Amino acid sequence: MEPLTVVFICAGLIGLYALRTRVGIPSSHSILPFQGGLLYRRGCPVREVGPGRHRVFVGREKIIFLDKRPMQVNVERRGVTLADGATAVYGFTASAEVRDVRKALYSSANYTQLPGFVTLCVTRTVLNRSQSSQIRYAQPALTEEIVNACRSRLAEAGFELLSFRFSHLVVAAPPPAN
Amino acid sequence: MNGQIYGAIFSVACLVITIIITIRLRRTRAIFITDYQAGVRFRAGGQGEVLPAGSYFSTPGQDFITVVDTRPYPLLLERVNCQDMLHANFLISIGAELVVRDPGLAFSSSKAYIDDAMGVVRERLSLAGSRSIVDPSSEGRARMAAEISSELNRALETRGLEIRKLEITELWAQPLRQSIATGAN
Repeated sequence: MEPLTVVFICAGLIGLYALRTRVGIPSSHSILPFQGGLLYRRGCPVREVGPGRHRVFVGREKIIFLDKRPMQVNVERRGVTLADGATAVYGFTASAEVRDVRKALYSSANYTQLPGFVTLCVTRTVLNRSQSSQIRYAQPALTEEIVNACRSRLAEAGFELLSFRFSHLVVAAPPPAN
Repeated sequence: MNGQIYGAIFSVACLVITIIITIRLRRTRAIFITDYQAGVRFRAGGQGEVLPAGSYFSTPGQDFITVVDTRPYPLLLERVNCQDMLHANFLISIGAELVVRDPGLAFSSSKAYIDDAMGVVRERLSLAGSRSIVDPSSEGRARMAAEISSELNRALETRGLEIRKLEITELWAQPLRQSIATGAN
């Protein structure tokens, strides 16, 4: 082999290796039917990718994917003070799923924590503003208020609330006497 | 004949050089930083340089790149007992988002910067509560949330972190007469 050819081959190999983050190495990435992904090129989002096989240039591109299956939130025996000073004990079961991959990905450092966080915040806020009588006699209205608030906040973060149900909600202690 | 020998020696030298360079390059690690992350590169013992989104090389032993997630971390603190300015006992729960504001500072200030910040928030929440007067009305809650946010952000500023969207999810103040009686006992 001619020395010049060897020089070119060697220089090409070194260049290709050194510039692998600029050029990228052709590869492919499979996304499962229950996943959704976002393709990033040079660190910036390019487009959403659905289930299937996608060609990526490793080093230059990356697919960040997340699980779109429903996520369960189970909360058991938590106490909250009501507006009249009584204490209510509650527990609930909720489920949510990712609807907008991009929004969900940016909503939290760990997107799976978000439905739990939102449902807990909203439930506690609504119950804290309620009276003992509402807990005893108007639970469906309270549940509806919580569902509506959770639904809108989760929608902003790219999720959809699938279900919300109190497993128990009782007034545990009467308000303290003044 | 001599030309052929020199050519062969040159080719072998080129191959050896290629192998050496490739081995050196193999030690480098490619790091991909997305737009919701920030890279912090430490080189030659200097201060961390913040890298924007993109692809980077890191050579172990020469420079070190760490990736910091700048997306919000949900934070929940439930049923924290405090005393307000009038020494009335009250109970507070909060929900907020913890965000990395300065990735270099956050990474340098603590190894587990998020976990450590939770402790700071809990401690400062009581302090912030003691500087306010509890008012359970919606305006009072909003005012108190703003006061707590600014107090927490003062404490977290030196750690490169920030509290956002703080909401008071539970607030209950013991009636003052009862608080005084409890204090007297």
